[in-house]
Amino acid sequence: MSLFLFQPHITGPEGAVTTPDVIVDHVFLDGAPKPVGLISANPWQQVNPAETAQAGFAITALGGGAILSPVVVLGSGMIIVSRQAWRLNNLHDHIGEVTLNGQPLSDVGLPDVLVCDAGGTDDALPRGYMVIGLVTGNSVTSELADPILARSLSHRVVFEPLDQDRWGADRPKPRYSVGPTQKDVTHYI
Amino acid sequence: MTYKAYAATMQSVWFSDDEGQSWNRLLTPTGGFYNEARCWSVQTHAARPGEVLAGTDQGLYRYSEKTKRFDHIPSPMDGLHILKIAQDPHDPDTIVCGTRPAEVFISHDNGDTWTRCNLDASTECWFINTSRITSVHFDPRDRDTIWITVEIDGVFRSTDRGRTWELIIRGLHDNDTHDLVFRDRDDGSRTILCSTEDGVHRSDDDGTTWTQLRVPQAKWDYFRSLKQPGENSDTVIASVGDKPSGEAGQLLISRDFGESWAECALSHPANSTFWSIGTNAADTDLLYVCTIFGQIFKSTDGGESWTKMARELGEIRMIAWAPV
Repeated sequence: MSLFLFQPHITGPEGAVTTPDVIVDHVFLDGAPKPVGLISANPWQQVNPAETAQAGFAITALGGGAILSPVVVLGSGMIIVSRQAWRLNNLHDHIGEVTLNGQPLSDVGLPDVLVCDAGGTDDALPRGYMVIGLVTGNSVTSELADPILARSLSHRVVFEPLDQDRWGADRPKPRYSVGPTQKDVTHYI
Repeated sequence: MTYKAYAATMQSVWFSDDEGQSWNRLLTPTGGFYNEARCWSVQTHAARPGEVLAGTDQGLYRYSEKTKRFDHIPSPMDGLHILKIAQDPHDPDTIVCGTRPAEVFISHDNGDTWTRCNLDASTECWFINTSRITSVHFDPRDRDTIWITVEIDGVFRSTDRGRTWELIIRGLHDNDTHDLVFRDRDDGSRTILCSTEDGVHRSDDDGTTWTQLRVPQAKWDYFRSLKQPGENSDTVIASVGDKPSGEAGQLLISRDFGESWAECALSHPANSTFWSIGTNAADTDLLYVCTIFGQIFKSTDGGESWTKMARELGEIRMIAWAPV
Protein backbone atom coordinates (compact mmCIF):
# COMPACT_ATOMS: atom_id res chain seq x y z
CA MET A 1 0.00 0.00 0.00
CA SER A 2 1.30 3.41 -0.89
CA LEU A 3 1.56 5.89 1.92
CA PHE A 4 2.74 9.35 2.70
CA LEU A 5 4.39 10.07 6.04
CA PHE A 6 3.06 13.46 7.02
CA GLN A 7 4.96 15.25 9.81
CA PRO A 8 2.91 18.37 10.47
CA HIS A 9 3.67 21.06 13.02
CA ILE A 10 0.30 21.90 14.51
CA THR A 11 -0.02 25.29 16.17
CA GLY A 12 -2.71 25.57 18.81
CA PRO A 13 -4.66 28.70 19.70
CA GLU A 14 -2.16 29.59 22.49
CA GLY A 15 0.83 29.13 20.21
CA ALA A 16 1.86 25.69 21.43
CA VAL A 17 3.10 23.43 18.68
CA THR A 18 2.55 19.67 18.60
CA THR A 19 4.26 17.41 16.12
CA PRO A 20 2.58 14.05 15.54
CA ASP A 21 3.53 11.89 12.58
CA VAL A 22 0.62 10.52 10.58
CA ILE A 23 0.33 8.17 7.65
CA VAL A 24 -1.93 9.26 4.79
CA ASP A 25 -3.03 6.51 2.43
CA HIS A 26 -6.10 8.04 0.78
CA VAL A 27 -6.23 11.51 -0.74
CA PHE A 28 -9.18 13.26 -2.39
CA LEU A 29 -8.83 16.37 -4.50
CA ASP A 30 -12.10 18.27 -4.92
CA GLY A 31 -13.82 14.99 -4.12
CA ALA A 32 -11.92 12.84 -6.61
CA PRO A 33 -9.44 10.21 -5.38
CA LYS A 34 -5.81 10.75 -6.35
CA PRO A 35 -2.70 8.59 -6.07
CA VAL A 36 -1.09 9.17 -2.68
CA GLY A 37 2.27 9.20 -4.39
CA LEU A 38 1.44 12.65 -5.73
CA ILE A 39 1.71 14.13 -2.24
CA SER A 40 4.87 15.81 -1.12
CA ALA A 41 5.69 18.09 1.78
CA ASN A 42 8.85 19.39 0.13
CA PRO A 43 8.28 22.91 -1.18
CA TRP A 44 11.48 22.80 -3.25
CA GLN A 45 10.31 21.22 -6.49
CA GLN A 46 12.24 20.72 -9.68
CA VAL A 47 9.43 21.40 -12.06
CA ASN A 48 8.77 23.49 -15.10
CA PRO A 49 8.25 27.16 -14.20
CA ALA A 50 5.61 27.36 -16.91
CA GLU A 51 3.48 24.91 -14.99
CA THR A 52 0.23 26.13 -13.52
CA ALA A 53 -0.50 25.96 -9.82
CA GLN A 54 -3.57 26.29 -7.65
CA ALA A 55 -3.78 27.17 -4.00
CA GLY A 56 -5.92 25.22 -1.59
CA PHE A 57 -6.18 23.63 1.80
CA ALA A 58 -5.76 20.07 3.00
CA ILE A 59 -7.62 18.42 5.86
CA THR A 60 -5.86 15.44 7.34
CA ALA A 61 -7.26 12.88 9.75
CA LEU A 62 -5.67 12.79 13.20
CA GLY A 63 -6.68 11.26 16.52
CA GLY A 64 -6.98 14.62 18.26
CA GLY A 65 -9.09 16.02 15.45
CA ALA A 66 -8.46 16.72 11.78
CA ILE A 67 -5.93 19.37 10.88
CA LEU A 68 -5.99 22.12 8.27
CA SER A 69 -2.89 22.92 6.18
CA PRO A 70 -2.17 25.14 3.17
CA VAL A 71 -1.55 23.25 -0.05
CA VAL A 72 -0.49 24.05 -3.62
CA VAL A 73 -1.49 21.67 -6.41
CA LEU A 74 0.55 21.82 -9.59
CA GLY A 75 -0.78 21.36 -13.09
CA SER A 76 1.19 18.14 -13.28
CA GLY A 77 -0.92 16.79 -10.44
CA MET A 78 1.69 17.08 -7.70
CA ILE A 79 0.16 17.97 -4.35
CA ILE A 80 2.54 20.06 -2.24
CA VAL A 81 1.24 20.24 1.29
CA SER A 82 2.64 22.49 3.99
CA ARG A 83 3.92 20.96 7.22
CA GLN A 84 2.27 23.83 9.10
CA ALA A 85 -1.21 23.14 10.37
CA TRP A 86 -4.02 24.19 12.65
CA ARG A 87 -6.40 21.90 14.45
CA LEU A 88 -9.83 22.11 12.82
CA ASN A 89 -11.59 21.97 16.18
CA ASN A 90 -9.81 25.18 17.20
CA LEU A 91 -11.50 26.92 14.26
CA HIS A 92 -14.95 25.46 14.75
CA ASP A 93 -16.58 28.56 16.22
CA HIS A 94 -15.16 30.98 13.65
CA ILE A 95 -14.49 28.92 10.54
CA GLY A 96 -16.51 31.43 8.52
CA GLU A 97 -13.85 34.04 9.27
CA VAL A 98 -10.93 31.98 8.00
CA THR A 99 -9.66 32.92 4.56
CA LEU A 100 -7.48 31.30 1.92
CA ASN A 101 -5.48 33.82 -0.11
CA GLY A 102 -7.96 36.44 1.05
CA GLN A 103 -11.00 34.46 -0.02
CA PRO A 104 -13.43 33.06 2.59
CA LEU A 105 -13.09 29.31 2.97
CA SER A 106 -16.83 29.09 2.45
CA ASP A 107 -16.24 30.13 -1.17
CA VAL A 108 -13.95 27.13 -1.59
CA GLY A 109 -15.94 24.59 0.32
CA LEU A 110 -16.23 24.54 4.06
CA PRO A 111 -14.01 21.94 5.72
CA ASP A 112 -16.89 20.19 7.45
CA VAL A 113 -18.62 19.73 4.08
CA LEU A 114 -15.48 18.16 2.61
CA VAL A 115 -15.13 15.97 5.68
CA CYS A 116 -18.73 14.87 5.36
CA ASP A 117 -18.35 14.18 1.64
CA ALA A 118 -15.38 11.97 2.47
CA GLY A 119 -17.40 9.94 4.92
CA GLY A 120 -16.46 11.75 8.12
CA THR A 121 -18.32 13.85 10.63
CA ASP A 122 -17.40 17.20 12.14
CA ASP A 123 -13.62 17.17 12.53
CA ALA A 124 -13.27 13.38 12.37
CA LEU A 125 -12.10 12.07 9.03
CA PRO A 126 -11.67 8.36 8.37
CA ARG A 127 -8.22 7.20 9.45
CA GLY A 128 -5.55 7.77 6.82
CA TYR A 129 -7.59 10.30 4.83
CA MET A 130 -6.55 13.66 3.44
CA VAL A 131 -9.11 15.79 1.58
CA ILE A 132 -8.20 18.88 -0.43
CA GLY A 133 -10.17 21.88 -1.61
CA LEU A 134 -8.85 24.33 -4.23
CA VAL A 135 -9.47 27.94 -5.14
CA THR A 136 -9.59 28.97 -8.77
CA GLY A 137 -6.78 30.96 -10.37
CA ASN A 138 -3.05 30.47 -10.76
CA SER A 139 -1.00 30.80 -7.56
CA VAL A 140 2.14 29.20 -6.17
CA THR A 141 1.36 30.58 -2.73
CA SER A 142 -1.32 29.45 -0.35
CA GLU A 143 -1.99 31.47 2.78
CA LEU A 144 -4.52 30.62 5.42
CA ALA A 145 -5.49 33.53 7.66
CA ASP A 146 -7.34 33.35 10.93
CA PRO A 147 -8.26 36.93 11.91
CA ILE A 148 -9.92 35.89 15.16
CA LEU A 149 -6.78 34.29 16.58
CA ALA A 150 -4.56 36.71 14.63
CA ARG A 151 -2.41 34.12 12.91
CA SER A 152 -1.65 32.83 9.45
CA LEU A 153 -0.03 29.89 7.69
CA SER A 154 1.85 30.64 4.47
CA HIS A 155 3.03 28.03 1.99
CA ARG A 156 4.97 28.61 -1.23
CA VAL A 157 6.26 26.31 -3.94
CA VAL A 158 9.65 27.16 -5.42
CA PHE A 159 10.20 26.31 -9.08
CA GLU A 160 13.46 25.22 -10.59
CA PRO A 161 13.83 25.13 -14.38
CA LEU A 162 14.15 21.73 -15.99
CA ASP A 163 15.68 22.91 -19.24
CA GLN A 164 19.06 23.88 -17.87
CA ASP A 165 21.63 22.25 -15.64
CA ARG A 166 22.57 24.76 -12.96
CA TRP A 167 26.02 23.23 -12.60
CA GLY A 168 26.53 22.55 -16.32
CA ALA A 169 29.91 21.12 -17.18
CA ASP A 170 30.99 21.42 -13.55
CA ARG A 171 28.58 18.71 -12.47
CA PRO A 172 30.78 15.88 -11.23
CA LYS A 173 30.39 12.22 -11.98
CA PRO A 174 29.43 10.05 -9.03
CA ARG A 175 32.50 9.05 -7.10
CA TYR A 176 33.28 5.98 -5.07
CA SER A 177 35.23 6.29 -1.86
CA VAL A 178 37.72 3.56 -1.05
CA GLY A 179 37.15 3.95 2.66
CA PRO A 180 39.90 3.73 5.22
CA THR A 181 42.20 1.25 3.47
CA GLN A 182 43.54 3.66 0.83
CA LYS A 183 43.50 0.71 -1.56
CA ASP A 184 41.40 -0.12 -4.56
CA VAL A 185 38.37 -2.08 -3.48
CA THR A 186 35.75 -4.07 -5.30
CA HIS A 187 32.15 -3.12 -4.90
CA TYR A 188 30.66 -6.04 -3.04
CA ILE A 189 27.31 -6.03 -4.80
CA MET B 1 27.88 33.93 34.22
CA THR B 2 24.69 31.95 33.67
CA TYR B 3 24.95 29.29 31.02
CA LYS B 4 23.24 26.21 29.65
CA ALA B 5 24.81 23.03 28.43
CA TYR B 6 23.33 21.12 25.52
CA ALA B 7 23.70 17.49 24.48
CA ALA B 8 22.59 16.26 21.05
CA THR B 9 21.64 12.64 21.49
CA MET B 10 19.81 9.85 19.74
CA GLN B 11 16.88 10.82 21.94
CA SER B 12 16.53 14.53 21.24
CA VAL B 13 18.44 17.44 22.76
CA TRP B 14 19.06 17.51 26.50
CA PHE B 15 19.52 20.73 28.47
CA SER B 16 21.35 21.37 31.71
CA ASP B 17 20.95 24.66 33.56
CA ASP B 18 22.83 23.61 36.70
CA GLU B 19 26.37 23.23 35.39
CA GLY B 20 25.89 19.69 34.16
CA GLN B 21 24.48 18.17 37.32
CA SER B 22 21.04 17.39 35.91
CA TRP B 23 19.79 17.10 32.35
CA ASN B 24 16.29 17.32 30.91
CA ARG B 25 14.53 17.36 27.58
CA LEU B 26 11.74 19.70 26.56
CA LEU B 27 8.13 18.76 27.16
CA THR B 28 7.22 15.96 24.80
CA PRO B 29 3.94 17.32 23.38
CA THR B 30 5.13 20.86 22.76
CA GLY B 31 8.90 20.66 22.60
CA GLY B 32 8.82 21.00 18.84
CA PHE B 33 10.03 17.62 17.79
CA TYR B 34 9.82 13.97 18.69
CA ASN B 35 11.66 13.33 21.92
CA GLU B 36 13.36 10.31 20.42
CA ALA B 37 14.38 12.17 17.29
CA ARG B 38 17.97 11.51 16.42
CA CYS B 39 19.91 14.69 16.97
CA TRP B 40 23.47 14.94 15.80
CA SER B 41 24.32 18.59 16.21
CA VAL B 42 23.66 21.70 18.28
CA GLN B 43 24.94 25.15 17.40
CA THR B 44 25.02 28.37 19.41
CA HIS B 45 26.23 31.84 18.46
CA ALA B 46 27.62 34.52 20.77
CA ALA B 47 25.42 37.16 19.14
CA ARG B 48 22.24 35.20 19.89
CA PRO B 49 22.27 34.03 23.50
CA GLY B 50 19.54 31.54 24.28
CA GLU B 51 19.16 30.44 20.69
CA VAL B 52 20.15 26.91 19.67
CA LEU B 53 20.07 25.35 16.23
CA ALA B 54 19.63 21.59 16.20
CA GLY B 55 20.29 19.18 13.34
CA THR B 56 18.08 16.11 13.43
CA ASP B 57 16.65 13.32 11.32
CA GLN B 58 13.47 15.39 11.01
CA GLY B 59 14.95 18.63 9.78
CA LEU B 60 16.64 21.72 11.14
CA TYR B 61 15.20 23.32 14.27
CA ARG B 62 15.69 26.53 16.21
CA TYR B 63 15.22 26.69 19.98
CA SER B 64 14.74 29.94 21.82
CA GLU B 65 14.57 30.68 25.52
CA LYS B 66 11.51 32.80 24.80
CA THR B 67 9.33 29.95 23.51
CA LYS B 68 11.12 27.06 25.23
CA ARG B 69 10.45 25.15 22.04
CA PHE B 70 12.21 23.94 18.94
CA ASP B 71 10.63 25.49 15.84
CA HIS B 72 11.06 23.74 12.54
CA ILE B 73 13.02 25.62 9.87
CA PRO B 74 11.75 24.44 6.47
CA SER B 75 14.65 23.46 4.24
CA PRO B 76 15.60 20.98 1.53
CA MET B 77 17.30 18.97 4.28
CA ASP B 78 14.09 17.75 5.83
CA GLY B 79 14.54 14.21 4.55
CA LEU B 80 18.23 14.07 5.38
CA HIS B 81 20.27 13.65 8.52
CA ILE B 82 21.66 17.02 9.55
CA LEU B 83 24.93 16.07 11.16
CA LYS B 84 26.78 19.36 11.51
CA ILE B 85 25.83 23.04 11.71
CA ALA B 86 28.08 26.09 11.63
CA GLN B 87 27.28 29.81 11.73
CA ASP B 88 29.51 32.54 10.40
CA PRO B 89 31.18 34.00 13.51
CA HIS B 90 30.62 37.49 12.05
CA ASP B 91 27.07 36.91 10.76
CA PRO B 92 24.73 34.47 12.51
CA ASP B 93 22.32 34.69 9.57
CA THR B 94 24.78 32.69 7.49
CA ILE B 95 24.32 29.03 8.35
CA VAL B 96 26.09 26.05 6.84
CA CYS B 97 24.82 22.53 7.38
CA GLY B 98 26.48 19.22 6.56
CA THR B 99 24.33 16.15 6.09
CA ARG B 100 24.20 12.45 5.38
CA PRO B 101 24.42 11.74 2.45
CA ALA B 102 27.42 14.05 2.28
CA GLU B 103 26.00 17.34 1.09
CA VAL B 104 26.45 20.93 2.19
CA PHE B 105 23.59 23.44 2.36
CA ILE B 106 24.06 27.16 2.93
CA SER B 107 21.62 29.87 3.98
CA HIS B 108 22.50 33.55 4.04
CA ASP B 109 19.16 34.70 5.44
CA ASN B 110 18.91 32.90 8.77
CA GLY B 111 17.40 29.78 7.23
CA ASP B 112 14.67 31.32 5.07
CA THR B 113 16.24 30.06 1.84
CA TRP B 114 18.89 27.45 1.17
CA THR B 115 21.36 26.57 -1.55
CA ARG B 116 22.75 23.09 -2.03
CA CYS B 117 26.43 23.24 -2.82
CA ASN B 118 27.93 21.49 -5.82
CA LEU B 119 30.08 19.32 -3.57
CA ASP B 120 31.96 16.51 -5.20
CA ALA B 121 31.92 14.25 -2.15
CA SER B 122 31.64 10.52 -2.75
CA THR B 123 28.06 9.37 -3.03
CA GLU B 124 28.88 5.84 -1.97
CA CYS B 125 31.47 4.25 0.27
CA TRP B 126 31.88 0.53 0.70
CA PHE B 127 32.79 0.84 4.37
CA ILE B 128 29.81 2.90 5.57
CA ASN B 129 27.54 2.78 2.48
CA THR B 130 26.85 6.51 2.52
CA SER B 131 29.40 9.21 3.19
CA ARG B 132 28.60 11.97 5.64
CA ILE B 133 29.84 15.33 6.83
CA THR B 134 31.69 15.15 10.16
CA SER B 135 32.62 18.80 10.67
CA VAL B 136 32.03 22.26 9.17
CA HIS B 137 34.29 25.26 9.85
CA PHE B 138 34.33 28.88 8.84
CA ASP B 139 37.95 29.77 8.23
CA PRO B 140 39.09 31.94 11.15
CA ARG B 141 41.23 34.13 8.84
CA ASP B 142 39.34 34.30 5.54
CA ARG B 143 35.59 34.84 5.73
CA ASP B 144 35.01 33.42 2.24
CA THR B 145 36.64 30.10 3.04
CA ILE B 146 34.72 27.15 4.46
CA TRP B 147 36.21 23.79 5.39
CA ILE B 148 34.51 20.45 5.85
CA THR B 149 35.61 16.96 6.77
CA VAL B 150 33.84 13.98 5.24
CA GLU B 151 33.62 10.47 6.56
CA ILE B 152 34.92 8.75 4.52
CA ASP B 153 36.29 11.02 1.80
CA GLY B 154 38.75 13.51 3.24
CA VAL B 155 38.96 17.27 3.69
CA PHE B 156 37.22 19.74 1.38
CA ARG B 157 37.88 23.48 1.15
CA SER B 158 35.84 26.18 -0.52
CA THR B 159 37.36 29.63 -0.96
CA ASP B 160 34.20 31.17 -2.45
CA ARG B 161 31.63 30.54 0.27
CA GLY B 162 30.63 27.12 -0.97
CA ARG B 163 30.26 27.73 -4.69
CA THR B 164 33.20 25.46 -5.56
CA TRP B 165 35.05 22.88 -3.50
CA GLU B 166 38.48 21.30 -3.59
CA LEU B 167 39.34 17.89 -2.13
CA ILE B 168 42.65 18.11 -0.29
CA ILE B 169 43.90 14.76 0.94
CA ARG B 170 47.56 14.57 -0.13
CA GLY B 171 49.47 12.92 2.68
CA LEU B 172 46.47 11.80 4.70
CA HIS B 173 46.95 8.22 5.85
CA ASP B 174 43.21 7.87 6.05
CA ASN B 175 40.32 9.71 4.39
CA ASP B 176 38.10 8.99 7.40
CA THR B 177 38.39 12.59 8.58
CA HIS B 178 36.59 13.94 11.62
CA ASP B 179 37.58 17.43 12.71
CA LEU B 180 39.91 20.40 12.14
CA VAL B 181 41.54 23.12 14.24
CA PHE B 182 43.45 26.15 12.98
CA ARG B 183 46.38 28.15 14.42
CA ASP B 184 47.20 31.41 12.68
CA ARG B 185 50.34 33.21 13.80
CA ASP B 186 51.33 36.85 13.64
CA ASP B 187 53.93 36.11 10.95
CA GLY B 188 51.21 34.85 8.63
CA SER B 189 52.03 31.18 9.02
CA ARG B 190 49.27 28.73 9.69
CA THR B 191 49.08 25.19 11.04
CA ILE B 192 45.99 23.00 10.70
CA LEU B 193 45.40 19.77 12.58
CA CYS B 194 43.00 17.12 11.26
CA SER B 195 41.72 14.18 13.29
CA THR B 196 41.17 10.94 11.46
CA GLU B 197 40.52 7.27 12.08
CA ASP B 198 44.28 6.85 11.77
CA GLY B 199 45.69 9.48 14.05
CA VAL B 200 45.99 13.23 13.83
CA HIS B 201 47.50 14.95 10.79
CA ARG B 202 49.18 18.33 10.43
CA SER B 203 49.31 20.74 7.52
CA ASP B 204 51.59 23.78 7.29
CA ASP B 205 50.52 24.76 3.76
CA ASP B 206 46.82 25.49 4.27
CA GLY B 207 45.75 21.92 3.70
CA THR B 208 47.58 21.24 0.46
CA THR B 209 49.58 18.45 2.10
CA TRP B 210 49.20 16.58 5.35
CA THR B 211 51.63 14.75 7.60
CA GLN B 212 50.61 12.22 10.19
CA LEU B 213 51.75 13.24 13.67
CA ARG B 214 53.38 10.84 16.05
CA VAL B 215 51.43 10.87 19.29
CA PRO B 216 52.90 8.21 21.56
CA GLN B 217 50.58 9.21 24.39
CA ALA B 218 47.58 8.05 22.35
CA LYS B 219 46.49 4.56 23.27
CA TRP B 220 44.59 4.22 20.04
CA ASP B 221 44.67 5.66 16.53
CA TYR B 222 41.02 6.76 16.44
CA PHE B 223 41.02 10.53 16.91
CA ARG B 224 37.56 12.07 16.84
CA SER B 225 37.13 15.66 18.03
CA LEU B 226 39.71 18.45 18.19
CA LYS B 227 38.96 21.71 19.98
CA GLN B 228 40.80 24.82 21.14
CA PRO B 229 39.47 26.19 24.43
CA GLY B 230 40.28 29.70 23.22
CA GLU B 231 40.11 31.19 19.76
CA ASN B 232 43.36 30.67 17.86
CA SER B 233 44.87 29.09 20.94
CA ASP B 234 47.99 26.95 21.05
CA THR B 235 46.11 24.63 23.37
CA VAL B 236 44.26 21.76 21.73
CA ILE B 237 42.15 19.04 23.32
CA ALA B 238 41.85 15.78 21.36
CA SER B 239 39.27 13.07 21.94
CA VAL B 240 40.41 9.52 21.30
CA GLY B 241 38.89 6.06 21.47
CA ASP B 242 39.58 2.43 20.75
CA LYS B 243 37.18 2.49 17.80
CA PRO B 244 33.73 3.80 16.87
CA SER B 245 31.75 3.42 19.01
CA GLY B 246 34.31 1.64 21.16
CA GLU B 247 34.63 0.55 24.73
CA ALA B 248 37.29 2.93 26.02
CA GLY B 249 38.58 6.41 25.44
CA GLN B 250 41.08 9.02 26.50
CA LEU B 251 41.55 12.76 26.29
CA LEU B 252 44.82 14.34 25.24
CA ILE B 253 45.94 17.93 25.65
CA SER B 254 48.60 19.79 23.71
CA ARG B 255 49.86 23.20 24.83
CA ASP B 256 51.94 23.73 21.69
CA PHE B 257 49.41 22.99 18.95
CA GLY B 258 50.26 19.35 18.44
CA GLU B 259 54.01 19.35 18.96
CA SER B 260 53.65 17.45 22.21
CA TRP B 261 50.75 15.85 24.01
CA ALA B 262 49.84 14.75 27.51
CA GLU B 263 47.03 12.58 28.74
CA CYS B 264 44.31 14.38 30.67
CA ALA B 265 43.34 13.22 34.14
CA LEU B 266 39.89 11.62 34.26
CA SER B 267 37.86 11.03 37.42
CA HIS B 268 36.40 7.85 35.91
CA PRO B 269 37.35 5.60 32.99
CA ALA B 270 35.56 6.28 29.73
CA ASN B 271 33.00 3.70 28.62
CA SER B 272 33.51 4.36 24.89
CA THR B 273 35.22 6.75 22.50
CA PHE B 274 35.20 10.41 23.52
CA TRP B 275 33.07 11.86 20.74
CA SER B 276 32.57 15.58 21.17
CA ILE B 277 34.16 18.46 23.06
CA GLY B 278 32.18 21.55 24.00
CA THR B 279 34.03 24.86 24.33
CA ASN B 280 32.98 28.48 24.44
CA ALA B 281 35.11 31.60 24.27
CA ALA B 282 33.09 33.08 27.13
CA ASP B 283 35.16 30.96 29.54
CA THR B 284 38.17 29.12 28.19
CA ASP B 285 38.59 27.14 31.41
CA LEU B 286 35.14 25.58 31.20
CA LEU B 287 34.82 22.59 28.89
CA TYR B 288 32.46 19.67 28.50
CA VAL B 289 33.16 16.40 26.75
CA CYS B 290 31.02 13.34 26.10
CA THR B 291 31.60 9.75 25.20
CA ILE B 292 29.41 8.41 22.46
CA PHE B 293 27.74 6.10 24.96
CA GLY B 294 26.47 8.74 27.27
CA GLN B 295 29.10 9.82 29.75
CA ILE B 296 29.61 13.54 30.34
CA PHE B 297 32.77 14.99 31.84
CA LYS B 298 33.41 18.61 32.81
CA SER B 299 36.66 20.51 33.19
CA THR B 300 37.04 23.83 34.98
CA ASP B 301 40.81 24.11 34.52
CA GLY B 302 41.08 24.42 30.77
CA GLY B 303 41.09 20.70 30.09
CA GLU B 304 43.85 19.51 32.39
CA SER B 305 41.48 17.46 34.58
CA TRP B 306 37.97 16.18 34.08
CA THR B 307 35.17 15.17 36.44
CA LYS B 308 32.45 12.82 35.34
CA MET B 309 28.89 14.03 35.80
CA ALA B 310 26.56 11.61 37.56
CA ARG B 311 23.96 11.70 34.75
CA GLU B 312 24.45 9.63 31.63
CA LEU B 313 22.37 10.10 28.50
CA GLY B 314 22.46 7.07 26.26
CA GLU B 315 24.09 7.87 22.91
CA ILE B 316 25.47 11.40 22.66
CA ARG B 317 26.70 12.84 19.35
CA MET B 318 27.57 16.41 20.36
CA ILE B 319 27.92 18.49 23.49
CA ALA B 320 28.05 22.29 23.79
CA TRP B 321 27.53 25.10 26.26
CA ALA B 322 26.74 28.78 25.94
CA PRO B 323 25.86 31.77 28.11
CA VAL B 324 22.14 32.54 28.27
